[in-house]
Amino acid sequence: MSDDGAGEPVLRVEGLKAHYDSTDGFLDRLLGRSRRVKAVDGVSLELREGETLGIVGESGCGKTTLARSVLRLIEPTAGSVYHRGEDLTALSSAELRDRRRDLQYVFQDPHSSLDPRLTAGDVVGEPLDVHGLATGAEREDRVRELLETVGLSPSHANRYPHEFSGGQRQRLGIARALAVDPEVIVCDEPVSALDASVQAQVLNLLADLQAEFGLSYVFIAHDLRVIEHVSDRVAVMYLGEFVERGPTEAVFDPPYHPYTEALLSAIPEPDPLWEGDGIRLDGTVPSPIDPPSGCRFHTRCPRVIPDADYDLRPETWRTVMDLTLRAAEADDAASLTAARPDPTEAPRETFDGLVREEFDLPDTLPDAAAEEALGEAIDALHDEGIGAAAALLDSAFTSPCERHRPPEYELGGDHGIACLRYDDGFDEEAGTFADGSV
Amino acid sequence: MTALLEVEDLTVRFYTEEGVVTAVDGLSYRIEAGETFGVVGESGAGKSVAALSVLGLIDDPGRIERGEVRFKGEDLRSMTDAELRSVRGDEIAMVFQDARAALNPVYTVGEQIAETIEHHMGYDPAAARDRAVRLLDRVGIPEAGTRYSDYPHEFSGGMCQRATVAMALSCEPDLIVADEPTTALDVTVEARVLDLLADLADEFDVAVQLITHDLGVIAGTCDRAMVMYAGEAVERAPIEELYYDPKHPYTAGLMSAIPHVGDDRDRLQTIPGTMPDLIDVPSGCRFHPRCPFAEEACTRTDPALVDPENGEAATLETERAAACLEYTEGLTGGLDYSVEVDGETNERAEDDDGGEDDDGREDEGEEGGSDE
Repeated sequence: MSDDGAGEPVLRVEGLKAHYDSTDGFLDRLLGRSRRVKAVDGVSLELREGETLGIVGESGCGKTTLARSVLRLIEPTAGSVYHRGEDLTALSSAELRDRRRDLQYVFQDPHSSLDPRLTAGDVVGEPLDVHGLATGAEREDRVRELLETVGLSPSHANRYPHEFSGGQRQRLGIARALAVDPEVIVCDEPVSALDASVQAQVLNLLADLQAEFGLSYVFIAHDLRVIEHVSDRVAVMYLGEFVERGPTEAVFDPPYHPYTEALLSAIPEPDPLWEGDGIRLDGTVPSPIDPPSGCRFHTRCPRVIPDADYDLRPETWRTVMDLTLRAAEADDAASLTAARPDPTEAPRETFDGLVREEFDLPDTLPDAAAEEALGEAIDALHDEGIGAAAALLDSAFTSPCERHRPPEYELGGDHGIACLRYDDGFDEEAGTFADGSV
Repeated sequence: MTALLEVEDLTVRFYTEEGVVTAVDGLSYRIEAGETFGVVGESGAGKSVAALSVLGLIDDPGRIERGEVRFKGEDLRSMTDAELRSVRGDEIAMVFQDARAALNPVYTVGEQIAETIEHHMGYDPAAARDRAVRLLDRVGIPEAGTRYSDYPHEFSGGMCQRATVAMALSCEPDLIVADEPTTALDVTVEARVLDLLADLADEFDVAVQLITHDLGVIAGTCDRAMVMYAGEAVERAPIEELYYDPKHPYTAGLMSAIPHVGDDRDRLQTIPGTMPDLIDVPSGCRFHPRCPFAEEACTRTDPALVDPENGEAATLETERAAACLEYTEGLTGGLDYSVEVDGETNERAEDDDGGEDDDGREDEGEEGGSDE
């Protein structure tokens, strides 16, 4: 829909951070315990004229916070948002209000984002009043026109939101955003609350409006099928950061970031014979209060890079990593087996089996050194407890992904992936970078 | 030969202040032992009400007006409350959409499962606890022994749903009714829960009635499926036939309305309008106001569920059934849609019904559901 790299982007976001304070009450404050939720942690993006930038990720990855902080509905902690060369984060609130004539927002929930006491006409007319764009008969005309534009009947202007269906309410939300004739609309999950047939209607409407008014969209969704359909470019978000970014075709085809690959593999395709790649992620997105070190995805990544000290297959390495990570968090040895009440009372041999069974570890690791380290750790777990075992595991097994926070590697064609596997200078066999560091 | 579950001519009405809502109207289907049967439709189609009736959970102002729900040949409607209670839980279990709400927040997850086991299976507390831990482990809760004593709020959404699956399995039921079990979950978690349901259905030889609005979910997990619209079944078919050869225009429309990865359509096909108000359903075929192929006859005659091959009325045994006049009286214009199957890679199939050639036919009616 847009020429790549044509002109100045309408919106440019640089190093945006949005952190919350989630310190729990008086006691925490008294003791000086602060807990910062790093919902968005250093995101940069460009939105070009007339294009749709899709942002996708699981719940808890910071999509909505990003969308809101871009328009300063949430105050960003750091970073800048440039619109037509001017930094939004530096504007006063009056200036920001003027700026909202160009930047609008469509919310996810069409039920709670409309004032129940305003009629449809007033919902759509309110932005006209706020910005002093139209009054009297002109306002009436504009409201009718807007309702018609989004496929609602102008005769419904006197109805209240509850008299509309979900799809119609979402159309009202879109009409409200359109009222000021904006350049950019940030759409936060605009169709996720809608039924399939209505969802298609709203997606088509958004496409029509884009063509008619030359709008640029930032489109947030968790549904990759929707993202692929609407976006010119896509950014995949994980724990407050972009892990992959590029034109839609590039992101949806190999090479992938392992997280993108896993998301794609999990899409329920409406095809009974569809096999998929069967990649399944364990667990959920970790807490953004204390995100994992290095690559934030390493705790779940099916393709995490093995420790170069050992010769292990990636699947086996993943299970060793799982044990190491769980040991670091567990309270006691029993947590590492499914057995009850106290597995450490079992003989060493049985206990060994229990641990291996819980983590799908092979009876003997194929690499002798790795097996020796694992054996020692299980001994420690059996005899000394969880702390000693966790320390042994942690010092014996470390993935390069835990140590290095991958920058975005350019793959050409405006496609970037933040994964160590795409660092040309990194030697997986030796575990060293081009400059010889480890 | 009787199937595990036979629902025949089920009609459920809700007497509300606004009027009488016929949520389910003359619904018939069967589920064989061990099979996974999908029920798909949009909000207001009557999917959940149909599921709740199977468990005898319809409460005021709702009432089952007509029909039979036979489980292993016995009509659940003629059972006493006590009998019904023992079937429910022992033989039919339910998994809900909102798993966290389905768990009691003031008891630990493990206790709740153990309690069910004690109550329904007569285990002593220690044995019940043991079994609960093993079940939690089986459904993929890490550190099941420790997690047994966690409260529901300490579980993530996916783990809560796994726990309710464990609870549903705890009494070795023959049928699990799962109502939108993955709708509230992330796609990665959804895939795992669906895998789990499929594995367990095999392992425990339990039948599953899987209710969802997402055709993608049905495709990967079910043996047969039924499509519902405005309280009625509009199509029933083995899963592959449903996707590759949909016989009802609503099924075809629903499939082409989903965007999917790898297709480069600029516009999605849409079904104009919205689901009708169930207090005052359209005359004739309920889908006719939204159907691109509707003709005058469709506004008068309510089509029955028939075998599309020969137009004979469908019985419970009929594998393939659709409710469209095309298969009885015949429509002058016929049903002009085709299904494209990407056969080469078999990666993505089913596509673009409703005629991409005569384009705009479905798009034009895009009124956003001004349902007047």
